[in-house]
Amino acid sequence: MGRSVARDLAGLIVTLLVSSFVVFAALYLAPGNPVAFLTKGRPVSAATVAQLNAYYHLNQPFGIRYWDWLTGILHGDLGTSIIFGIPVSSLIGPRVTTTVLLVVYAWLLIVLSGVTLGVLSGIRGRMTDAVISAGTTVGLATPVFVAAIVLITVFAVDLHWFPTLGAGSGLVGRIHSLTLPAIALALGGSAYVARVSRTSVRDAETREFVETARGRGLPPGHVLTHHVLRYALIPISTVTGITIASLLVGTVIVEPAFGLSGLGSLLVQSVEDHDFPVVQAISLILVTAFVVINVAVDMLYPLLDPRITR
Amino acid sequence: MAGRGWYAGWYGSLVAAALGVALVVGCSSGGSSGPGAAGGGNATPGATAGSTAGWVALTPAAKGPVSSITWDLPDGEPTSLDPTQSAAQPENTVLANLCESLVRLTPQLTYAPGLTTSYSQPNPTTWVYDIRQGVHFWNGQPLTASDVVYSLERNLSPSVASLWGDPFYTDVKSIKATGPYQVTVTLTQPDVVFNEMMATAAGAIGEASYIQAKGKSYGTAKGGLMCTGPYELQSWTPGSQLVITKNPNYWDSALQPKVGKITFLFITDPSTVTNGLVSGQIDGAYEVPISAVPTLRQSSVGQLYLGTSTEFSVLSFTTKAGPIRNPLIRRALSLALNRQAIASTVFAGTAVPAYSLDFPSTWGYAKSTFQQGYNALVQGAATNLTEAKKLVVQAGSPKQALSMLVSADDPGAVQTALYVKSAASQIGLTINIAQVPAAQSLSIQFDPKARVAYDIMMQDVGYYDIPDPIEQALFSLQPGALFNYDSYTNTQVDKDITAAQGTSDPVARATLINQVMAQAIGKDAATVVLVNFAERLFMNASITGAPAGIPAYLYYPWAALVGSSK
Repeated sequence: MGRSVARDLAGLIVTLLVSSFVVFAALYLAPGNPVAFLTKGRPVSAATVAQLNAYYHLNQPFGIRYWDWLTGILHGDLGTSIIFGIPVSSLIGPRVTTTVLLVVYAWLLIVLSGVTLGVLSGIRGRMTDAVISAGTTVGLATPVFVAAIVLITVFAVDLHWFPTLGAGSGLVGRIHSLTLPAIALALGGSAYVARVSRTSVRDAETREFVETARGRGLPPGHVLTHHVLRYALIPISTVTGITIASLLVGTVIVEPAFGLSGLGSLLVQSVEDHDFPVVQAISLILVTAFVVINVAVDMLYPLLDPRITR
Repeated sequence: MAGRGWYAGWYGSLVAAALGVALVVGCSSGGSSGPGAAGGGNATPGATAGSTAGWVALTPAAKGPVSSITWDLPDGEPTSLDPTQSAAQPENTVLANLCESLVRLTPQLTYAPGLTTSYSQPNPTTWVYDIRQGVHFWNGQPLTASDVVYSLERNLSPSVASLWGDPFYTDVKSIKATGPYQVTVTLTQPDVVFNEMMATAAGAIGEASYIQAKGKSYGTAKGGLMCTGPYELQSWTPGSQLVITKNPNYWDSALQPKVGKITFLFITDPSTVTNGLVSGQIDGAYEVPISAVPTLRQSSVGQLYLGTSTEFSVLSFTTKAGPIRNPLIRRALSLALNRQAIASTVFAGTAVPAYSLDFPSTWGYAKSTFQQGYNALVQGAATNLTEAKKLVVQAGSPKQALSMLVSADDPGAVQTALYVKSAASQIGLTINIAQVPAAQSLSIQFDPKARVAYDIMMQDVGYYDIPDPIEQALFSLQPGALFNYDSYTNTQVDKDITAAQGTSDPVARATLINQVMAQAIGKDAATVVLVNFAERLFMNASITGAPAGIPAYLYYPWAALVGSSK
């Protein structure tokens, strides 16, 4: 176990190094200059451009700029935003909370509704299966921004049950404000998890060990929880781990639609503005989150299926 | 699902029903009925199509205090509130209420004393400003001449890289305190525009010692500001909101704010802004998206106002070798355009055709002189396909296609580009539209090397900071000028612009500008102006009072006029 933790850590660091290099190179190669965004496209004199380029080290070669950034990170310095002129850490700090809350909320909705609906669909009769399958089709087919518009129009503008925008304050206020965005975000993932759950439950039901358990007279509830679900949970947990990646990507659409100030909206804006330090910092966070979650899912397998060793 | 015929029937109809419900709900709510639908909403003040006569400078006066309001900035979050870096709508909308300038631009676009009690021009190259006494910064420190000198001089510093430096401070020789409450600015050549710009953020004053202490972080969320205005910067959470609160010690007793606290949001997505306004979560906004206009016109939650405006859209040309370098082709294109259609369709009736950079909304003085010049120009510029085709033939009927750069993220710009393309094809010119994401098109406009890939650039929004047509002439028509993308050069035009810049007599100045426009726009079509569009202001029914026009709200402390409508 000690060896595998060290191996995981080494893997994380290598992944971070490679991805940070790729992201930096991609932004460097992409056409555009942050100075253009600083001045909002308003042309300035060549002297001013030279001045700003020098101040933000934009004229230095790629290697030196990447190295400067890397050494800064290793000292715990995320750098200063070119566009906002404030430390990247103060730009990101408040937004991390919003995005984390949103993603966790959406993920809980996905797990609870997706697994429940999928299991129900798998074990109940044709009518239930039909209704739930129809629902998941709509959920899979609906783009996130369409879901956002419909949810805002119905539940916020017409019914006034939720605010139309903003992340709210205080724990209860935040959960209230993040409900519609979480639902919009969770729709696709929930449908996907429901489908996979349904298939794996149905697959489990056909297995001999389940027939044997039933044949031995064990109560149906016990068979369901201790035999069917234990078996079905492996593919289900893999899928729920993967949906986190799609949730992180989905925040890029959901956050602007609901006027939420989170990492997704900041990432889009910073890429457009070529705000290098901010893009690098957010990429690091996203890659770390993704790797950590995958490792956590990996660690879950032996608990579900002792045949799998790490 | 083989072998499940009846199941497929249930399934299919359930899916269809679910989608149908979603579509009906999405489309019917939110008031998507077009203008002209009966019921609900109030007539938009200022909405006489095709005329600026109804555009208003002010909204009905406020009647009482309000403790707090939420205001949106649809163009996004300010990047910095340092006046030297504030030359765009998000920054100036906020800054106008915080930092004051030497001269005050009123909502009626006249000049009044601001932080000066008077100013004079003892000779053409000298401006003397008498600083108002008894004014204090938010921290209680008094405003003195040294603060004024320090603040103005920052615009000359290369390390500050002020956005106002070029062209407005290029004639400045020295800025000196000539008394504890007097500042004298000496110029290298006669310049009246410098004084006019002292009514904008170019002339905004902050406390010298505070600015020095904060250095590069002045104006950022971390460094804050130290100014004299009716509101103070209370807090700024980047990405989330910016809060300003009433200054209890504000010097101007005639302009005491009624709103205690204003929270600025940075929502840019058009449907989110619309939903926020319609649901009442946002109390007001300037520059509401065009796409929101039909909904907001109908809404009973508040009122949409069309304000007086110096905003315009233009076609700019580059230095790319090709047919567009021939003035005959540029004039032909201008003659072929149907500006009225663009004004009605693209701008939902909130715009009027404009034929020159000195369109009527910019006439802050010598109106009848400008009227004469503009009328003469319009006569030769009104839509005339026959004349346009003749010019194309005269230019040799070029077959080479022209490329036009448009920001893909702006549906209005794309629509306008299609009108231009269609007008061109009617006279035998081919235009290929290059739709490019907004961020990239901004970069291209900014970079002289990248621009050259395109013949024409569709430029959506320009606006005058001051009611003086010479401003855009200075920006676009002189060699080396910042917006002179096509390197337009005409010695006489250049001379006339410099002369006009130094001429105090309004009629003489207007005459010179008429000459400039007749040559540069009328004959040479250095740039093709399309429309002048109104400012779009929406306020919740519970509040009123905000000035409705641009550039008024960019430099006048508009928030001090806002209050409750009851």
